[in-house]
Amino acid sequence: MRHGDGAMKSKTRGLVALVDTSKYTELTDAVAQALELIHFDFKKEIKKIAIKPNLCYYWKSTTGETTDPHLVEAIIDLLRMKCNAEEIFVVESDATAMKAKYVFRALGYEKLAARKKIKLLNLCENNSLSVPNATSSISKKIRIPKILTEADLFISVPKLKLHSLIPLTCALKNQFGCIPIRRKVIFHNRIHETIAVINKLIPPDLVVVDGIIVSGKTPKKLDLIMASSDPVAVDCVAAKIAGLSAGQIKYIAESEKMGVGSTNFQCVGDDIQSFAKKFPRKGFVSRFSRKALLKSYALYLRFFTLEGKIFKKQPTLGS
Amino acid sequence: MDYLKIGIAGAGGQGRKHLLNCLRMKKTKVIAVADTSKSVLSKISKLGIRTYQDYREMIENNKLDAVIISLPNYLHKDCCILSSERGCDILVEKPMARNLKEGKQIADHVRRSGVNLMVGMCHRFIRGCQELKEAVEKETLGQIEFASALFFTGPFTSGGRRVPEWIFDPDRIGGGALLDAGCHLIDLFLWFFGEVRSVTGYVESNFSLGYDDYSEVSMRFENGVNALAVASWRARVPCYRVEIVGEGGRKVIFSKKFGILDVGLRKGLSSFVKERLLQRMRGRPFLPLGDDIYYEELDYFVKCILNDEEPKPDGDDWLKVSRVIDLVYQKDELKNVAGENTKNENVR
Repeated sequence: MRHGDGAMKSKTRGLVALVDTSKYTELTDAVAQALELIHFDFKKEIKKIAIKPNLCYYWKSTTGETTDPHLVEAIIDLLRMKCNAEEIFVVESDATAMKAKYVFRALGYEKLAARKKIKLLNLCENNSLSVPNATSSISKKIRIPKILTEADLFISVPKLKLHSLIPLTCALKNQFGCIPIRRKVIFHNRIHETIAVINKLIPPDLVVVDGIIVSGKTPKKLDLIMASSDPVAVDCVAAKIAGLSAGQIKYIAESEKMGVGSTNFQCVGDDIQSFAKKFPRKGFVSRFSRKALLKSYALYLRFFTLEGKIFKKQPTLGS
Repeated sequence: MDYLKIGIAGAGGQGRKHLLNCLRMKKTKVIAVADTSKSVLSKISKLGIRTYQDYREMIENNKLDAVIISLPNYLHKDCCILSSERGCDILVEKPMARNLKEGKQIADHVRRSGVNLMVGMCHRFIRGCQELKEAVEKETLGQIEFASALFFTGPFTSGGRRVPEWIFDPDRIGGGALLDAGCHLIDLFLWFFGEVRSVTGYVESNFSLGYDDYSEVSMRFENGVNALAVASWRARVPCYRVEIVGEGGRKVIFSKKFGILDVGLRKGLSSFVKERLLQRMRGRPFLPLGDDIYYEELDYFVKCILNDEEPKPDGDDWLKVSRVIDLVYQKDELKNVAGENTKNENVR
C-alpha cells in the first residue's frame, strides 16, 4: 500500500505549508516544520523511498532552474530520523538535451549519494511498465517507471520557476520528467494533457517545493519551502506567488478534472504575500517582447538563411 | 585556382556554420562532408555533397584543396596530420590541440608538410575587437596600461542544446572553460600586446566534471601591459566584455544578453537592420545573428589560400596561447584533484 493512500491523504488535501527558510539555521528544521504544518505523518513501515528533484539541465540550483541538492539532503536526513527506510533513490530521467548520469555528476548529486549512501537512478535505464491510459487520447498505453509504482513513499521536490512554453513549472510539471523516454519533446504539442495524465498515473505522496532561489525574470533568493500532499494545490499557490492566475495554466485545470488534486487550497505557515512581493515577475512587455523577438527571429531564419532552409534550425535564446 | 575544393570534417554546430558559409561563397565548393550522424548527413547529401561517416575516408577519397576541421578536440591531431600529409590546407577549430605537447606535434607536422594551417580564433573577426586592435596599434588611447576580458559561455549556457558525450570526458576534451573560452581572450591579448612575460592563473571546478569550469588568467606583457582574462562555463546567460585602458582613455566592447552575438547589436534593432542592408550591398549574404564572424573568418582563410598568403593565427600563434593555458593548468595537478578547487600560480 502506497503511503498516500487512505484517509490521511484526504484529510490533508488542499493544505499547503509555506515556510521561510531564512528563519532557520538548518534546512532540515525548515522542512520538518513544513511537514508538521500539513500534518504529514511518516509511516514506520516505509522501506523504499523515491525522491524526484527537478534536474532539467546542467544548471546549478543557484540559477533558479534546478532543485538544490542541499534541500534533497535535508529531506533525506529527515527521512532517516522519521522512518526506517532501507532504500532511498533519487530519480531523474534523460531529457531531449540532457543525460541524467551527467546531470547527477555536474549538479553535485553524485557526491550527495556517496555522502548519504543513497542510490541515483536514471528512469530511462530502468524497468518501466506499460499501463493503459483510459483518461486521455494521447495514446492508449503509457510507459511509467516501475520504481515509482513500487516505492512506499514517492516525494517530488520540484523547483518553483517560470517557463517559456507553459507559464509555470512546479509540482505537476516535475512529474513530466518521470516519463522514461529521452525525447520528451514529442509530447510538447500536447504538454498540458500529458502532465495531467502522468500525474494521474504516478501521483506523488508528498511535494516539497524548492523556492529557495527561484527563476522568474531573473534568478532571485526567495527563501521559500512549500509542502503539501496535493500537487494541484501546490501549483495554485505557486501560480499565485509568481503573479499568475491558476486559470491561465491549462494543466492545472486538466489535472483537477482528472482527480489529481484540488484547486481549493488552504495556506498554512508564513504569509503568501511576503513571497509574492519578492518574486521576480515577468512583466507583460518582457513576456510579449521576448515572444515577438523569437517569432520574428524564427521567420528571419526560415526565409532568409540557409540554416532554416537546410537544417530547419529553430531559434534558441535560452528558456 | 578559381575556387577552393573543400572537405568538412565534423558537421556539428560549428561544422554546419562553416558548411553554410561555404555554400554562400562563390570561391568555395564543398566536395565532401564527414560526420557520424546519419540524419545530418542525409540532409547534406540532398545538396549534392558527398558524405562520409569517417573523416579519414573523406580525405583519402577526394582531391581536396582544404579541409575544415570541426571535430571533437581529441580528433584534431589525427585529422590535422592526415590532412597535411595529403597536402590539404587546414582551417582547424579552436582548440587546435588539447595540450601544448599535442599542439607542437601538429605544428611540426604541418610545417614539414608545407601546407597552411589556420586556427579558428574567430574573436579576431569581431568588429569591436578589430577596433580595439586598431586603437592599440594607432595609440589613440595613449600608452595602454591595462586590459581585461571576460567571456561567460560554454556548452551548458544555451538550454535547448544537446551536449555531446565527449564534452564530459576530461581526457577527450582536454580542458574546460580556460581551454574552450579562455583561449579566445588569451589569443586576443597576445594579438593586441605581443609577447607575454609572466602568467598567473587560477582554475576552479564546481561541476565536478574533472576539469575547470571557471578560470582567471593574469598576464604581464613585455611592453608593460597587465591583462586579466576571466572565462567561465557556469553562467546561465552568456556574457562577453573586452576592455582596454590607456593613459588617454578607455575603450570597451560588451554584450548585454546574447554573448558575442549582440556585440554588434548594442545600438538596437535599427542598427542591426541597417548593418544587414549594408552587408547585403557589399555583397555579403543574410546571416543569422552572430554568424558574421565565422563568415569573415572563412572569407579571410579562403582569400589567403587563393592569394598564396599565410593565414593568421597559425599553429605557432596557437602554441603561444597553449603555453599560457598549460602553465595555468599544470595538467597532472588538476587531474589529481578532479572536482576540487585548484590553485596554480606560475611565473615564467
